[in-house]
Amino acid sequence: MRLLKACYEALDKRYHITPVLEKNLTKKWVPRTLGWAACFGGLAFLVFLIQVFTGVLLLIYYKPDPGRAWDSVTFIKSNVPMGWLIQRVHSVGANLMIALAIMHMARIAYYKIYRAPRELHWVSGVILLGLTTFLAFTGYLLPWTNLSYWGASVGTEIPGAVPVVGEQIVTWARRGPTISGETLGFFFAMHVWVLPATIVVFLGMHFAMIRRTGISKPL
Amino acid sequence: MSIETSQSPDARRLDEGRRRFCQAAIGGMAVVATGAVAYPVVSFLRLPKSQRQQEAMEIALSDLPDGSALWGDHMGRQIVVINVDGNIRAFDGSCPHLGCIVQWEVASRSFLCPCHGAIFNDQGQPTGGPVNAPLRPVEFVVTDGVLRIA
Ligand code: FES
Repeated sequence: MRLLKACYEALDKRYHITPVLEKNLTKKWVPRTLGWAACFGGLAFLVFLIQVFTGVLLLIYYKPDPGRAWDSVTFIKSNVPMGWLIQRVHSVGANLMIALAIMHMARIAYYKIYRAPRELHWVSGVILLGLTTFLAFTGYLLPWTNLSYWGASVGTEIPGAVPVVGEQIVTWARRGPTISGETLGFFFAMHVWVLPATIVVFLGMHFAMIRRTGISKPL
Repeated sequence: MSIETSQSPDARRLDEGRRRFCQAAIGGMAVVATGAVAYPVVSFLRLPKSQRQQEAMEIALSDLPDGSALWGDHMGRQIVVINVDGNIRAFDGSCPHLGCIVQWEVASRSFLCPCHGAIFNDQGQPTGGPVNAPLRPVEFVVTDGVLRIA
């Protein structure tokens, strides 16, 4: 403890950390009128962090191969110590993250917080909800169960309704005419890298904008 | 917002006591919460014991036409079973050189190790590359057209 304190003091002397911490954390007062409903956005972010963490854990055992995906998920659930818990947290977390994002947006919409100067907060939020949905959708295929197979079949069918290029989009998203091992690889890459990285970029913008304008004061 | 400070020394001592209690309570909860997260995560990272390691490996011989090879996982070893002119043989698939898993070359009916190019004939005897030890044969029994490695 004393060592930790000495380390912190040495760092603080050089980089003046304490005022930064005080300004952003320990002495940052929240308006009295703000209720619990104002937490949903932050909670969605917290769940996102949990998803990243449990997702990395699952990656240790998961195998993105049509012959072994289901086996590897079953292995995680029944053989890996606490694997059932990590897997369950990850799958429940996905639903929770979407629910929290929607509750967050419902509050923003109800109190009309999206009005100037915060229009782009809302736009980035809508994009984040879309990305989160794609994240959940691509993750749903990965256990390679019957349910996830047909979920992905039906889901990738949707852009087929787009005029002219609909069919091309469907084939592109499936990496072929039907759901196959190619789809699994594509969804896997999207799920573990592309979408999370994009979400992090938009979260950064979302938060930076909120810091610039400040939160909306309740009337 | 400013925090009211108590005036009398008695009240101040009481305040101090409360503060220490709260700090201890928060610290205690933080320890419990950390433990509740750390325990599952640390156990998740331990080596899982595989159920599959206890199981015997079975292969239907009808899946193994002449000249072909099949791979299987048995007690953590990669086993390769080949059919050469109706003779069934099973080997531990890891190369005696440095342990890479050998490949079965259908055309030449031989094993080729992808790592440093060791070659073994269909009896498992080395015929080229950096090894002079044979592939380790594996015992098996065949009942009703099903090959079993216990
Ligand atoms: S490991 Fe097989 S040749 Fe080196």
